Amino acid sequence: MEFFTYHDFMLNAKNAVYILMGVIVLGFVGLWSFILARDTDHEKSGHDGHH
Amino acid sequence: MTAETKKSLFTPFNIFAGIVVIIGLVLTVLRFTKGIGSVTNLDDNNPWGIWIGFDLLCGVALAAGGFTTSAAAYLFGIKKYNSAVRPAILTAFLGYALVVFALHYDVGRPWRLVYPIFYQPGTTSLLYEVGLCVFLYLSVLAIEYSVAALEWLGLKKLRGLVHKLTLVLTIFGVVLSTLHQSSLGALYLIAPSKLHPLWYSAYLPIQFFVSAIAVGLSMVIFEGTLSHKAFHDKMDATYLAQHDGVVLGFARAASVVLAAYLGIKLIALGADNNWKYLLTGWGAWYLFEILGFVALPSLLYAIGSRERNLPLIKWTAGLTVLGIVLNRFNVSLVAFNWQLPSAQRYFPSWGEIGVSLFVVVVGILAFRFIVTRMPIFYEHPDFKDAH
Repeated sequence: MEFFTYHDFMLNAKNAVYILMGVIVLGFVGLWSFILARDTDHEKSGHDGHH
Repeated sequence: MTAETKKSLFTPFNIFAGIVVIIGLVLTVLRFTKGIGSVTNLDDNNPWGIWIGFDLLCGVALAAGGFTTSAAAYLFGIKKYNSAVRPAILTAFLGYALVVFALHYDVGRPWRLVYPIFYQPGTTSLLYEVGLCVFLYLSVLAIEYSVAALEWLGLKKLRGLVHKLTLVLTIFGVVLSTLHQSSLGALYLIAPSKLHPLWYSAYLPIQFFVSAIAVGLSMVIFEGTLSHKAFHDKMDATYLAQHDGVVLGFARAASVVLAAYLGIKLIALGADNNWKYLLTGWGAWYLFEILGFVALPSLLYAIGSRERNLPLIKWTAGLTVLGIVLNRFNVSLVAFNWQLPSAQRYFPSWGEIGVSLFVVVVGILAFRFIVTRMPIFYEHPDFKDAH
């Protein structure tokens, strides 16, 4: 893709970055729920890693 | 000297450390009598070598465990991390002290070190800001660490006085660390034509700061793991009981921070529209760094903390430490001056590597000297419940 003005370039770059930001935020939610998924199981079994 | 003393003195590590210290002292004499050119490969194209890239940039980043741990324990009030504070503060104190020590080799004329602070402050310079913050934070760390030294010396009144400053010092530490960790990244904003576009970004200050938090958390796990092997007999029941909780909690935090760091790296890539460079050789090296040493540790930490897999977390901590060292090397050395022909590129001399190794060994020896004498991994019997 060619950019004839700096404005064109910024519009293109920012569009991609806004989409990327959305993907990253969704990824964060996924990562956090993945990390916490087993917490309730560990609490139930009484083994929480904190002796 | 009895046979037993000889056996405990002449361990493989002590022999190795002794050789490194002797070589380091010889190099020190050479550096300060014959000039910087006699022991380094530095030149006008490459004025900063591994003494900046490793000793300073990595030293400061690896010492970030001090402010992250004390903030978690004292600012966020997570008391189960209290036992990790002293080892982290000691590591940070020695790390910063050695950064300043190593800086003398690069700058020369040690008696002039105070000039930028007291005589000729260049208040518009980022280097001045870094210097001032390191000077102030090293002072803060010295006071924070002094509580353990005062307990060891039995100076109860002075210890009580210093201990009362804990919260203020922690706040100071967080503010100063935020400033200079990011400023170290900002130093490279001055060289857009020298640093490869994949590493150069307006987000460099944020990247340096966020990655320092990740490696600070990892260093606490990494250093704790090594200390467990070497100084297990110096640890009290409280430290041992809290250790697994510290590892799991810090692994969880490090996973999220590394994911944030990865996100910032990708946003920086997108904002400058540098995707095309990913298909080059430099792109392969960049992907090796961010996939192998940022994305992978983030995922491994997440799996480790979810499954409560302590060995996996400890290996991941080592991988993260390596990754941040690699990143600082890439920014300051590998991707710096990338357009120069290979004959003009910098590679450290044996003298530079020897001095860096000397600095690391001095740090390990100082750490060992202190933890075998002072209450770092245990509560002093006279000051139980006074923390």
